[in-house]
Amino acid sequence: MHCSTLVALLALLSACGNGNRGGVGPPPPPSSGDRVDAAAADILPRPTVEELAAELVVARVGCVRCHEAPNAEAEHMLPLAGPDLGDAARWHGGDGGAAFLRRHHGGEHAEDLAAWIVSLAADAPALQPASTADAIMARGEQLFRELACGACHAPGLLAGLSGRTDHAHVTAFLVDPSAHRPGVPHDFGLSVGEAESLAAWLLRKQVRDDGEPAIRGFAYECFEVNIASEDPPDLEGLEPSGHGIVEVIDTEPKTRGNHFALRFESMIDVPSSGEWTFTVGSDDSSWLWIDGDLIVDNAGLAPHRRRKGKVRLDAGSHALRVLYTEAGGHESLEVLWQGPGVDEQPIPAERASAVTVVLAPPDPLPPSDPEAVARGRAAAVELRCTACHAVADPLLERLPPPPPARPWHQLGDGSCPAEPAATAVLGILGDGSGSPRDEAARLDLALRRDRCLSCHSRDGQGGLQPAVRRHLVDVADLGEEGRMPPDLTKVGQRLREEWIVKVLEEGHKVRPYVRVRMPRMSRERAERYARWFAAVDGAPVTDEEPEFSAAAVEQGHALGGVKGKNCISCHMFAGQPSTGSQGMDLAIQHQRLRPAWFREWLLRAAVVRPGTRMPLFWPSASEADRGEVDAIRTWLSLGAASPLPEGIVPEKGSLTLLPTDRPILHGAFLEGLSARCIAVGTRERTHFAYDVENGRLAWIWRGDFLDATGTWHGRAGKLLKPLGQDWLRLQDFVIDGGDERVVLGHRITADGYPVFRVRAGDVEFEDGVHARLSAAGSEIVRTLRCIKGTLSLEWPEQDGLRLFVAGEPAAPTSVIRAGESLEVVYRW
Amino acid sequence: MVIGLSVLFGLLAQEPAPDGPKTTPPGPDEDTYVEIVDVDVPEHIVLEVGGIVERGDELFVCTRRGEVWRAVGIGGDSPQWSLWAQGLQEPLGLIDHEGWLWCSQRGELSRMRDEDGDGRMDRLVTWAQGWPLSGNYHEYCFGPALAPDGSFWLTLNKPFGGEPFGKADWRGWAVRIPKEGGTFEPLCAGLRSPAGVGFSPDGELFYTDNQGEWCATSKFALLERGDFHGHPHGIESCKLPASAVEFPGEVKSGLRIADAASTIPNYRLPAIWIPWDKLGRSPAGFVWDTAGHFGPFRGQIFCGDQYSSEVFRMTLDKVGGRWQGACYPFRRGLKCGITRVLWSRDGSLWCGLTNRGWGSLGKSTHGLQRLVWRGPVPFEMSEVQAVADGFRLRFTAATDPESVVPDAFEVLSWTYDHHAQYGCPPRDEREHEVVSVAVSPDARAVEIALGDLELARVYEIRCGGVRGAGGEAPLHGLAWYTLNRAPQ
Repeated sequence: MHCSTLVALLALLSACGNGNRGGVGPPPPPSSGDRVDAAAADILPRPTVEELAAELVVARVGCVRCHEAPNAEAEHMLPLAGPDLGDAARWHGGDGGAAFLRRHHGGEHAEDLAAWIVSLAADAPALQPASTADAIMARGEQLFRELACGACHAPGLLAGLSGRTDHAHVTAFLVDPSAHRPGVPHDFGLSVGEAESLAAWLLRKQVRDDGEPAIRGFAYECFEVNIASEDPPDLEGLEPSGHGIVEVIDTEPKTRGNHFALRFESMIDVPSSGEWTFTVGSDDSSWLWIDGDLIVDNAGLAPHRRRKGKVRLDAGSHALRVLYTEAGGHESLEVLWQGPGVDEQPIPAERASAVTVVLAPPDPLPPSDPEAVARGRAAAVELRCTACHAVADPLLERLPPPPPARPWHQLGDGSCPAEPAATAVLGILGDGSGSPRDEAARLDLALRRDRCLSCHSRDGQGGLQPAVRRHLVDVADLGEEGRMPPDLTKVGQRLREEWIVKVLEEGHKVRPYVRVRMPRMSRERAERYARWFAAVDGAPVTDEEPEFSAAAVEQGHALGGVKGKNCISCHMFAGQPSTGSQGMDLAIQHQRLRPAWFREWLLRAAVVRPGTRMPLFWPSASEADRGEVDAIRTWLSLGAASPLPEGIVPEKGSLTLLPTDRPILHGAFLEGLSARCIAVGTRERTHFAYDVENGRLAWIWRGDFLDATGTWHGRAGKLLKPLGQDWLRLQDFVIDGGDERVVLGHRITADGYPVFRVRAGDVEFEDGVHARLSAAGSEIVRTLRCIKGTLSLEWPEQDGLRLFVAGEPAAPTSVIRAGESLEVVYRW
Repeated sequence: MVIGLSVLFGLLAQEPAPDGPKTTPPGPDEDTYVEIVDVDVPEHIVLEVGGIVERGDELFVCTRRGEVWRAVGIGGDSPQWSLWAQGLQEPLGLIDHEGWLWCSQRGELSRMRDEDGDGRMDRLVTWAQGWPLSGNYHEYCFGPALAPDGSFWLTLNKPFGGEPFGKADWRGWAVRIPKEGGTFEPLCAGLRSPAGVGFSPDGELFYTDNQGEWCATSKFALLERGDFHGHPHGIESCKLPASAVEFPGEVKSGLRIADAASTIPNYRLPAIWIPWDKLGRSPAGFVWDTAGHFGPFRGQIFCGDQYSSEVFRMTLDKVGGRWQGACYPFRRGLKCGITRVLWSRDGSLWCGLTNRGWGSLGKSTHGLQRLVWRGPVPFEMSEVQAVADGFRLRFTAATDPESVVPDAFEVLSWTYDHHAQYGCPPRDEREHEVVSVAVSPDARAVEIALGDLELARVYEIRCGGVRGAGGEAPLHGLAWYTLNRAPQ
């Protein structure tokens, strides 16, 4: 990489100026109070803001990739690798590549380098035009704002994309950034539809100015293709046999009777926000996408049948695409919608506009002049491009290598073009005379290098700029907490390290109402952050969990429900909606928050975060109050298996079974077991399934119970599997002397559990199963009572399962005589 | 084809008067005589009815969701509903017997009761089990029908689609469970979707089956040990030792019904073919009106249809020692397909509703309604019986003998094919000339003679020209008679 880059970056830094919050600039100098950190102050002085700015530049530019520096730490100063140049060449067209090189790498070699890079992918297909719609671009702009892309990207800079690449490539990058820039934290989990919308808006300068006005209806194209399978045909590059605009989506626009495909595209104006159901009926196959996401898959070479798909949509314009294929025989196609205030009906033409906009990418470059390519290759050697970029060019290796770059410490003679800001860094890296860096400083640098502070504030610094912030939306009516990325001050005291890793690695959406998203990063980097936060923010001194007891769980459970503190009026619980605004899910809080912080937060939320909507339930913070808070903590320690608080109401129309009081018994076909099973869901959220056909306790699991759709919806008859977690397929005990079991029925205990009566040969016994909370957590208790004969059985060992009898590990065999009982506890 | 004179006259008579449309006040209709009463069920209860039991002031309804709901105070204004049992597998029948509620689950006959009196079932005894399940949704189990000897009968649906746990024996069979339970005897084969099963007041067992493959149109048939009802899906089970049905051999597709009846061993013709889409599509539960709840139709059979949301009538006629008979429209317009009907102690007819998985006429997907006889007697063709050269038609009231002329009747007939395809349209349709008519001395019965009767056919008889003594037209004046045998 050329040193002129350094100049460019430093210029950018100074242009951003002091007081810039976020963006690429350094933070304003912290006040002296802010600079004192409890955990780090005693160890090392923190770097000055100038040093920090310089380090940031060196880290981003990657000076040490060429200039050897003994003190450069990989995690600290080494930048990420640049893009693969062959890959980059495939992306670029027009003269945008050279312009990019001029702007980012400077120098007189830009044109030659561009020619050489283009030659690296001479076989690359030309950039492709794309068709889109005004409304898609409008959605892209809305996404850009809602996702706060502007926190890092000045929209003007990104507009340069129009001059050098096409819609398909930008979309591909947004969907899977790591395929092109491994390690760059840019993976926001965008759907294809979102990425297409964003890409369309980013490339808006490519819009050809011959667009037609919107026309009511659905634009269609017909393709005469052989339909031999249930898969969607590849229509790419095919000339349509017919096209136009229709008011009804059906098979009418076909150009022949068999073996054709119809594609309909339109922007539909959704009248109200909420859940929308789309129905596609067809003979043969059909598919429906909304905003690029597949909503209905109705593939099948079969007579007319309907399939449905649901999607939550905001009111306004959305892109509809329907694909239909007909192999032979009868043909039919219908597309219906149904949503808030709209009964099921064909999508009316007056809500559809069939306008398309064409995005034209830059023209392909003429074949590179071989002399320019050769000059560019030579320049690449001289400039050491390969220090940062992967390049597949065998000719490059034949050129003599350049003389080694001067080591870092020799740059301190004023020859570095990055003077004066780089001087500070030279001292640190060059001869070791500068201040060594501690964890706090490394964290500071990393937060800036990864642009975390462009969105998050921490210790009063960073955070979204007002211009970006004002576009954020508060969808859940939770105020600032409902739309802003969370403040990171003392985050190491708040969150468990494992949770920080989870959030950084998975982009975990614990606040579904905040539209701004976290980029995902590698586990290694996530773990490094978690360590830094814990060390720098200082783990609380008293960070112990309250003692677990079933009584505490019950107390906490009661406090969480409508008759207690009514937490569920503002918080979701284990995926179930709250009765009011949909605040953060309570069932993950134990996994997420450190115990000391949990106490602090519940007892003093308004003090800890002024302006929070979290009420102060325990103003006196008495001993009893602390007991209640600890009880809630204990209740939530069971995670998704915490008993559901009273007052949770299942979503209307949902067939997810939600045991809130007595157990739910559900007779069903269970996968891998039999067509005669009874699954039992409990309020302890510790469930089991009994195979009635074979007389065996078959499954145990925790958390969510069952989705009864397979038993209760339509023709049903689907094989069910548990929802939830901790699913264990049991190897049941083996009865000596013949193990053919017949279930003779069951009785129901006073608290609603079934006790099965089983016969095996001459032996009859009762098999009662229930869930229980104990000091060991939630467990399954099985009571075998022998009624007739002697029940002599063996317990097979099973990984992950421990059996207890009277508090002791169970013996491998048991003998139960008529009239006797045995209580076996299952822990897993 | 010869067009009967009656048809021509009928057409002429329907020409509009030259001086413009007439304004006639609306005549009596079904609602004039039978009221549909909606039963208010709390919204959170999905009452996809599989079976109904009335016990004093309590109603028990088992649902396809495997629940049994109990309503207390059904005689009053606000019955209290509560969950009595849960976790059953699609129970499609419920009866009250010896203090227990008995229900058919997919894989067992169970009896249940509430022993501690807390309003919830607490003991379930599996009375019989052992017929396998493939795990296909269509393997419904209907019944139990309680026999006079205390045994129970179930009808087992055949699968329709995937069989994830492997093909199961005894599908499409009717099985008998002895009074003491424990085992089952597979006694009749070849059923398709036998959604209703019950004993006649004389102790004979009948069932309804739904049109489909090997079932040309829906039917009402007697179940007798050893009979084969035509669907070959489960005939391999005939080779098992427990089978009471002789293996019928290869069942050929495409035979006329008459040929199927004469060539397939032990083939049982239905007593009544219920013509598809002329009178419902999917008949289910039925009851005999032995008490005369529905006025002039005492002794007749009332059956619900799962698609057309109507209750229709049937009458039986024993000819040559075998049952045959006719079916008639009665009351349309319920809010959902009907699976179960049950007499209430107040003489109304409970109608249990669900259409999940097949769809039906009406605006609801489940629920409970009642049919209430309002009191007035309609002028209606109440019963058709076969006579040597035609049919005897009984009316609910005296006819005007002047109106009883050959042209007052229209008679069509057709037959069906026994084949593997799904359902069969009418085959060999014919129009029949009414050769002569005779009115009984009390004017309430009419005999019509037809020139050319043929067996194994369905006769559609319309008597639109007949008038009551007061000049009133018949309410429907429509019947379909299945002529398997003719009286000598």
